[in-house]
Amino acid sequence: MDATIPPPPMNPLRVGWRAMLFGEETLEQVRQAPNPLAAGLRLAILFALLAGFFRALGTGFDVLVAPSQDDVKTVVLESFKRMSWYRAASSGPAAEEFEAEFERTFELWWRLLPSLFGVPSPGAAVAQLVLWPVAWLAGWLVLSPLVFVFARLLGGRASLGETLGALGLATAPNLLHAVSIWPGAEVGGLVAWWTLALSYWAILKTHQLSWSRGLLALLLPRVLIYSIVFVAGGLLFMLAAAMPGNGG
Amino acid sequence: MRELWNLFLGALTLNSAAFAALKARPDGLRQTLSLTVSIGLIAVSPVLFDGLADAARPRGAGTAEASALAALDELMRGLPPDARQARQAIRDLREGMRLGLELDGLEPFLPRPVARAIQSVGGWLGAASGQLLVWIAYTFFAFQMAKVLGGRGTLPRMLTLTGLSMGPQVFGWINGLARFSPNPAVALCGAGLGLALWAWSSAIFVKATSAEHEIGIGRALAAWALPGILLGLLIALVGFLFLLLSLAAVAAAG
Repeated sequence: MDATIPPPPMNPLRVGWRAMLFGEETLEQVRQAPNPLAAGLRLAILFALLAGFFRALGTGFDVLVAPSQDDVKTVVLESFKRMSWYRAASSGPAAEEFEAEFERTFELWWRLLPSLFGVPSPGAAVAQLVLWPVAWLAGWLVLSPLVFVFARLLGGRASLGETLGALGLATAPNLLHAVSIWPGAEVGGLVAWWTLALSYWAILKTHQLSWSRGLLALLLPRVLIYSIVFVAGGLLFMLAAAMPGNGG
Repeated sequence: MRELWNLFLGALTLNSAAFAALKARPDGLRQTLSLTVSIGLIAVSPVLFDGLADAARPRGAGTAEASALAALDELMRGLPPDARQARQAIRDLREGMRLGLELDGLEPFLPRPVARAIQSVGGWLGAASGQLLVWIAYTFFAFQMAKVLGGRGTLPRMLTLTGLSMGPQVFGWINGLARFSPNPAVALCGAGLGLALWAWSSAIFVKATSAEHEIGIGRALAAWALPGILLGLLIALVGFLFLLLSLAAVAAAG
């Protein structure tokens, strides 16, 4: 370890704050750590867990300012039943069958949709606490090695450990999720953009790349992942359409 | 503190020395961030005032939504008896509006005014975070453009300087409040003020880009304008493609 580099500060929150301010010293400390990969991974896990905790707490407080799930469900279901298409379908010969099927389908979607839309409930809070950090970390673990590969292809000079260390530090804006503890306060977009800007800067610094190559190293993995998802989705759709009984 | 205040005032008056002084400060970004957050909170404060006023307002009959429902009822009564489809469309629209009203009328766990007040503070914090998002995202794009145009700056220092463009928005709350005025002249004056503040902020952004990248004002202006123009073109292109696809789908169905 370089003797001129001061020892890393112990408080990870301070590390995160300094990283958010594009602190070169903090980036150097992670890069020069005996195991930069472990340092970056530790930071990424800590920031993701804190973000999940803040978001879960926020969802918990959201419950206080929102009506109960059951009340909302009843109002929505009653509203559907007043719609003209529902009345038309439920006045035919198969009315009873339609009504029973509709309520079954509604019940099924209702279990899924409120959570998807972040409607507050104890279940949604637990999902934020557990699933959100897992999803964020999974994304980071897929994206970061790809950024490393593209950075090296574009002439970058850093090791995999240094790259992952730097990109782990760049997840520091997750700490901003502390604001979302307050009901109604949403900072997801800000976190995403701040993380992108920090990642870009970290890649430029770590790999000593020009601005354009750094940008490509950061964007090409995303383009690749979206393309794979798009193509895989298309293939799955075509396969499903070709299955017997689906017109194939 | 006094030195910072002078730097801030210098930036507002597009003084080159102020930009150079801030660029040289090692804690420049931290100072800019404090300024940006404070100004962002002030600029979007009408969101908070509006939310708090809404929290104190009684719900149900007499609100704009209830008046709209009554207007739809009136419209339906005026329809000829054979206008069955129009009657059905209005009835469904009415049900959709009624759903919104009923959901709005459900009692939260906390007393309604308290819950609404808490939510409006959240909306205010969210709106201020949106201001920061725009600053970071736009600076990111303008940074790339400045580099294409031969700039030599760094992203952290560019953020430090472009953050000063939030300065004029300290008066943004006046524009925000004017929007709620029932008097059209006041609302028009507010819109004029909003335009002037936008032009002032943009001038600071251009000056900051020029100071950080050591490029002329013309190229800095291009670096500021191109992301907006390209984004506009992209939106137009996507809209055009969507229109073409819709027309093709209609033609295929016909």
